[in-house]
Amino acid sequence: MAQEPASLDIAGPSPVGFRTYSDLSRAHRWYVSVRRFMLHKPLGALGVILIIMVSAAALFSSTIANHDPETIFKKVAVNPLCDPVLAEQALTDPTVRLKYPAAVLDCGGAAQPLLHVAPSSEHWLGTDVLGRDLYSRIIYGAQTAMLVGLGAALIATVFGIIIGVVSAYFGGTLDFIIQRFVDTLQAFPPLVLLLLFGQVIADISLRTNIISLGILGIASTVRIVRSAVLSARQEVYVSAAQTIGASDARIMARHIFPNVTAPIIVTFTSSIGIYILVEATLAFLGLGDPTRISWGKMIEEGRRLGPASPGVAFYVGCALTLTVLGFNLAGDALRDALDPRMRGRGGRAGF
Amino acid sequence: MSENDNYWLRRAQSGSLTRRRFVGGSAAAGVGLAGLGLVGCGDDDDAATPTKGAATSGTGASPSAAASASASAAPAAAVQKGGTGRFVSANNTWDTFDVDRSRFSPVAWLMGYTNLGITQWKNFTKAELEGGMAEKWEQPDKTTTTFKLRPNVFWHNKAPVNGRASTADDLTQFIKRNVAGKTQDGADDSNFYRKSAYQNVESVTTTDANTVTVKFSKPDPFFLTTLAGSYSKVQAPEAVKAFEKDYASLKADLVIGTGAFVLKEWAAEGKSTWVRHDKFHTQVNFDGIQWFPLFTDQAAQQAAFEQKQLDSFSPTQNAVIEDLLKRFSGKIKENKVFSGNPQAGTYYGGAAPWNNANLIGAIHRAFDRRSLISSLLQGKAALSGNVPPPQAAFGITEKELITFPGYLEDRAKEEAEAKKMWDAGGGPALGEIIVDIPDIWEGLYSGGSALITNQLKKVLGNTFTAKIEPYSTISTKVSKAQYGNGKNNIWWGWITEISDPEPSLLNYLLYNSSQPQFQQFGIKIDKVDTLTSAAVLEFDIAKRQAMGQDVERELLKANGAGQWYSLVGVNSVLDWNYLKRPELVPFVQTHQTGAQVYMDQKDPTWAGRT
Amino acid sequence: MKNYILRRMVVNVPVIWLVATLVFLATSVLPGDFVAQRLAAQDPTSTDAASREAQIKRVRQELGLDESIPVRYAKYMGDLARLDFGVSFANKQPALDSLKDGLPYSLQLAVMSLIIALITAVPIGIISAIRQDGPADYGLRFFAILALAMPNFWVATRALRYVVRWKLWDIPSSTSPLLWEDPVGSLKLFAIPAVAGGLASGAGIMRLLRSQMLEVLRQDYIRTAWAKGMRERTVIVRHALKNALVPVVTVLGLTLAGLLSGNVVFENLFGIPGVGNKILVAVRSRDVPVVQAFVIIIATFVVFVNLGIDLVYGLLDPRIRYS
Repeated sequence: MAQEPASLDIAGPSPVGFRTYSDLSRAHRWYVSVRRFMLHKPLGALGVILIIMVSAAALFSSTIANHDPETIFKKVAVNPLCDPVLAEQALTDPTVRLKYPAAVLDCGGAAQPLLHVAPSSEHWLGTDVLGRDLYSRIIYGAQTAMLVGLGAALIATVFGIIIGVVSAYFGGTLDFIIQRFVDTLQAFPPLVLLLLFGQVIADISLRTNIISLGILGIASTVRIVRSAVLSARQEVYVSAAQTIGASDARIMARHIFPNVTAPIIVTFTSSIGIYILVEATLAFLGLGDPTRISWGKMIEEGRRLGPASPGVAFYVGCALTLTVLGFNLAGDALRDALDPRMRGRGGRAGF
Repeated sequence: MSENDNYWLRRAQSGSLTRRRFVGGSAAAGVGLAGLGLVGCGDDDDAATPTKGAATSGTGASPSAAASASASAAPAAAVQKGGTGRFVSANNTWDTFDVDRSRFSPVAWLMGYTNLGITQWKNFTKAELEGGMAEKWEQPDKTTTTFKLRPNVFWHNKAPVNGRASTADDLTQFIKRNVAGKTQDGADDSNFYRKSAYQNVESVTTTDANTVTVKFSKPDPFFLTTLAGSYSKVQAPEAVKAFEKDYASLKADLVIGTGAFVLKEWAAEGKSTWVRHDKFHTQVNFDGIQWFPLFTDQAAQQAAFEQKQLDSFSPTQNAVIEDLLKRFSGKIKENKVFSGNPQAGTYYGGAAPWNNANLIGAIHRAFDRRSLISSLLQGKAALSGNVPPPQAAFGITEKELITFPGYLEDRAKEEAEAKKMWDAGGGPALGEIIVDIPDIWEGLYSGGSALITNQLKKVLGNTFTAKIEPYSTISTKVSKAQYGNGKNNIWWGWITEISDPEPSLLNYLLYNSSQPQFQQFGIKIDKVDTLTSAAVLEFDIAKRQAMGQDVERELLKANGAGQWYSLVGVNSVLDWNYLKRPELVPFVQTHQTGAQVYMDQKDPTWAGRT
Repeated sequence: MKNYILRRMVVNVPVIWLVATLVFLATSVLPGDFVAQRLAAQDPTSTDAASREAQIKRVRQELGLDESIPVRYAKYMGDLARLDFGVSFANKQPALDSLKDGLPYSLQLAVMSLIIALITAVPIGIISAIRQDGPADYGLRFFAILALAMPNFWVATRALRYVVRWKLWDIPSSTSPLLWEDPVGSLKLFAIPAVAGGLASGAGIMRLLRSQMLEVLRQDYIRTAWAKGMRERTVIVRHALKNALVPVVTVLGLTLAGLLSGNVVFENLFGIPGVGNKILVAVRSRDVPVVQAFVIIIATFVVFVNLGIDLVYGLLDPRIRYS
C-alpha cells in the first residue's frame, strides 16, 4: 500500500530527499505530495480541481445554488399589451385565442413566468424554458451526474474485480465460461442493451440507468483485472503463499488483489466520465429518468429554443464537458503516476 | 350533424390517441397540422350545421361545381397553382394500408390524399358536408338514404383496378364490408374498428347503375358524418380481394383510390411521394406532395423552412415563432389552431379512494391549470372543461367555466379549499400518490411531470411521485379501472383525440352508464344518462348543443365524472405566404389538400423556392 | 495457425448462442408486447376491457405470441439455425430487410467518421509521443481529452447552429442522399455528424497511440536504432509506429463495430434513416424479430472482428504465436 505515495514520490526530481520526506509530519507530507502532483501533473491537478468543484456542487447543492431548482420564477407587471375588450371576447369565443397573441388576452394581472430570460444578478445564467433558475439547476444537475458516475463505476468495479480475480485465479473451465459471458456482454450492442434493460424494468429511473450502465462496464473491468491477475499469479510470492498452504481466498485477497489495484484505480476514475456522458446521452434521447434534473435533458430542453435563445444549451453543455474533462484528466494523471511503464520516454528514472 | 363516425368509432372502440401524433413534438405536429393541409379553427360548428334535410339540399347539391369553378377561374386570374408541396413527417407509425381496419391516424392522413369517401367535409368551421364519391344524396324517409354516384370518378391506374371508372357497386361493397366486419374468408375481424357506427344499417343495395340505397333499422342522425370520417375511405373491391392478406406489408402499390393523389413511393420513416391523379374528378392544385423526415434539431428545421425546403413549419417555442415572424415579416404567416388532444387525466370513481368527492375534488382544485398554461405551454392553450374549446358550440363558455371549482381565477382560494377538502376526506392518510405520465407527453413537455407533482405536493402536502409510462401501460390500466379503485394513483396526459366538431356521441359512449366504456370511470349521474341518451337520437342540432352544455355542467359538478379535463393546447403553424389554405382545424382531414389548398406561384414569396 | 482459427471459431459459437438466448429472454419479459403497444396507440379511454382483451388475443395468435416461452424458444432457435430471422411484426417483411435499408447510411457515416478519426489521431498521436511533456504534447493531449469530454450531441448541435447561422452551406433536409447518389449533397449532410463523431473516436485512438508509442520508444530495439544513427523519421515510422499500431487496430475494429450498429444520436438529429433509427423504433414498438436479428448480426460481427484483430496482431507483431 506504500506504493502509491512512493510512486508519486519518484515521479519527479524531488526537492526533498527520501529520508527527509518520510520524516515529515503526515499533514506536511500530504502537502508536499499534492504540491508535487500539481507541479508535475498540471493537467491532472486541473482535473482534480474540477472534480472537487463538481463534488462540492453535488454535496452542497442547496448552499451553492442560490435558488430552488424547481421554482418557476414569475414577475407581476402591468401587461402593456392587454386588450380588455378582446380578453372579454375570448371568454365567450375561444377562436379569439387563435387570432391574437396570448399576451394581448392576458388582462388578469396574474404573474407571468420569466421564460428563458437573459443572465442577471438575480439569475446568474438566466432562466430555462419553464422559467426556472438555470444556474441552480446546473448545480443540482451535478447530483445526478455524480450519482450515475460513481454508482455505475462502483458496480462495474466491484463486480468486475470479483469476477475477474476468480476467473483468472482458478482458470480452467470456470475461466472459459466466464470469459464467454464477458464476450457476450461485449458483443451485445450497448444501446440495445440499455434500451431493453430500461424497458424490462418498465419504469425508467435513475437507479435503472445506474445499474444497466454498471453492468455494461463489468465486462471491460473483468478483462483488465483478469490480465493483471494472470501476470500477478506468476509471481514468486504467490507460489510461496500457496506452498505454505494459504487458502485461495486469502491469497486472492492478500497477495493478488493489492497488485492489481493500480489499473483498477485508473479504470475506475476514467470510467466515471464515460458513465456521466452516456447518462447525459440517454437523457438527451429521452431515455433517462425524466423527473431528475439531468444535464442531458437540460441540453435537450435548451435545444428546443433553437437559435432564438442559445444560452441554455450552451451553459449546460459546458458544465457537462468540464465535469467529464475533470475525470478524464485525473484518470490520465493517475495512470501516468501509477503505471511505471508510462513514465516518459525512456522513463524518468534513468536514460 | 357533425360528426364523422370514425370519431365515435375510434373513441368507441378503438381510440385514437395516437402516440405518433405527439412523439417528436413539432415534427409530428408538422404533419398533423401543416403537412396534411388540415385545417381549421373549428369551434363554431353551430347554426350552419346541417340537419339531415338541410344536408340533402344544401351540401349535396353540387359541390363540384363550386370547386371546379374556382379551379378553372383561378389560373386565368393572377393565381398560378401547381408545384409539389413539401411537408414533414416524423415519428409516424402505421398499422395497415387497409383503411377499414386501420386505427392509426397517419394512415387516415395518407388515405385523405389518395382515396375519396362517399361524403366528405366541405367546411369544418361551418360543419358542412359535401359529396365525395357520391355526388349527392336524398332521404326519402327517416330510415332510408340514397346516394347518387358522381359520374366522372376513376380509380388510380394500378393493378388490379387499372384505372377503371367507379361504379355504384363500389360504394355498396364498401358499406357492406364495414357493416359485416368480416374478412373474405367469413371470419369476424375485430379490426373493423368502425363497425359499430354502421350498426343501424339494415340493408345496402345497388338499385341502379349509379344509385345506392341504404335502409336503416332506426333513424340514424350521424350516418352521413360517419361516411365523411377520416377512415371512411372507399377502396376498390377488387383491390380488397387481391390485397386483403397483404395490406399489412405497407407497400405503395396497395393503395388504390379515387382521390386527388396517387401514392408513388412510401417509407415509414423516410420519404413518401404522391403525384397528381390525372383523372381526378376536379382540378388538383398540386403536381404532387412529399413528406420527408426532418432533423429533430430546431435550428436545422428552422433553416429548412427559411430556405423554403419546407412550405410549412410548426415550432413549439414562442421564441422561435417570434424570431421568424420578425425576420420574415410580411412573407410568412402564423396560423393558430387548437390541438386535437385535450390534456386531462382520468380516474375510476366507483370505489375508494376516488369515490370520495372531497379527495378527488381536492386534486381537481389543487391542479393549477393556469400555471401549466403560462409556463409549460408558454401561454398557448385554453382552459377546457369536459367539452373542449374546438367543440365550443356544444359546451359552456369559458366565462361560465371559470366559475366552476378547479378553474377559478382566485388561486389562493382554490388552494385553501383544496387543502380543506383533502384533510376532510382523509387525504394525508393516503401517503404517497403515484401520478402516471405518458412518456411521449413528458417528451414533448420536458419537465412537465415534475411541475405537476411538485405543485400537487405543495398544495396537498402528500408526496406525489411521477412515474413515466408508455401509453400501452396507461391505456391498459384505464380499461381495467386501475386508477383509483383501491390504489393511490391517477394519471395525466393527452386523452381522447377530437376528430370532429361534435361531442354528442362520445359523451354518450363515455358517460352513459349503459355503455361498456362507462365502466372505466364508474360515476353514474342520472341526469347525464338521460341527456346523453336523448342527444344521440336528436336530429335538431340546436337541441343537441343545449344538451351538450347541460352535460358538461353536470360533469363539472362531479369533478369531471372520471375525466379530469384541464386544457387544450394551441399549436402554431407557420406558412410561407404562397401556401394558401381554406381553414385550419384540429381534425384529421387531408381530402381538402387536392382541391382546396394550393401554392400561389405568382406570390412574391414563391421566388427562390425550388 | 489453422487449428487456432478453427478453435476460435468454435469458441465463438457459444457466445453467439448466448447472445441469441439473452435477447430472446429480454424481449420475452418486456412488459407490453407488440400487440399491447399497437393497441396502446389508441385512446386509453376508448375501449372496454372485454373487447380489448379479445383483440389482443387474436393478434397475439396471428403473431405466434400465444405459445409458451419454451415452445417459442425452440422455434426461434430452429429458425436461427437455418439463418431465418423471422418476419417483422410491423410490416410483415423479413426482419433483415428493414435493417438492410438502413445499412448504407450507417455504413457511410461510420466510414466517414473513421477516416476523420484516423487522419486526426495518427499524426497527433505521434507528435504528442515524441514531444512528450513539451508544450505541443500538453496542447494536443488537452485537445484530445477535451474532445472526449464533450458530449457529441452537444458538439453536433452547436456546429449545426453555426453552419446555419453563418450560412456556410445549405443542409439538405428533404433528402438523405448517399455519397454515390449525390456526392455534394451527401457531404453537406454527413459532414457535421462525421466530424463530431470522428473527433471523439479520434481522440481515443490518439491517446492510445501515444501511450503505445511511448512504450515502444523505450524498447531496446529503438535504442539500438537510435544508436545506429538512423534518421528520426525512419525510427519513428518504420520501427516505432508499426509496433505501436497493433493495439490501435483492436480499437479500430471495435470502433467500427460500434459505429455500424448505428449512431442513434446523429441519425436522430440529422434525420438519417440508418440502422440506429430503425432499431430504436423496433425496440420501442416491440418489433421483436427485428430487434433479435439486429442484435445477433451485430454480435456476430463483433465476435469475428475480434477474431480478425487477433490474426492481424500476429501479422503486425511477430512475437505473437498462435498455438
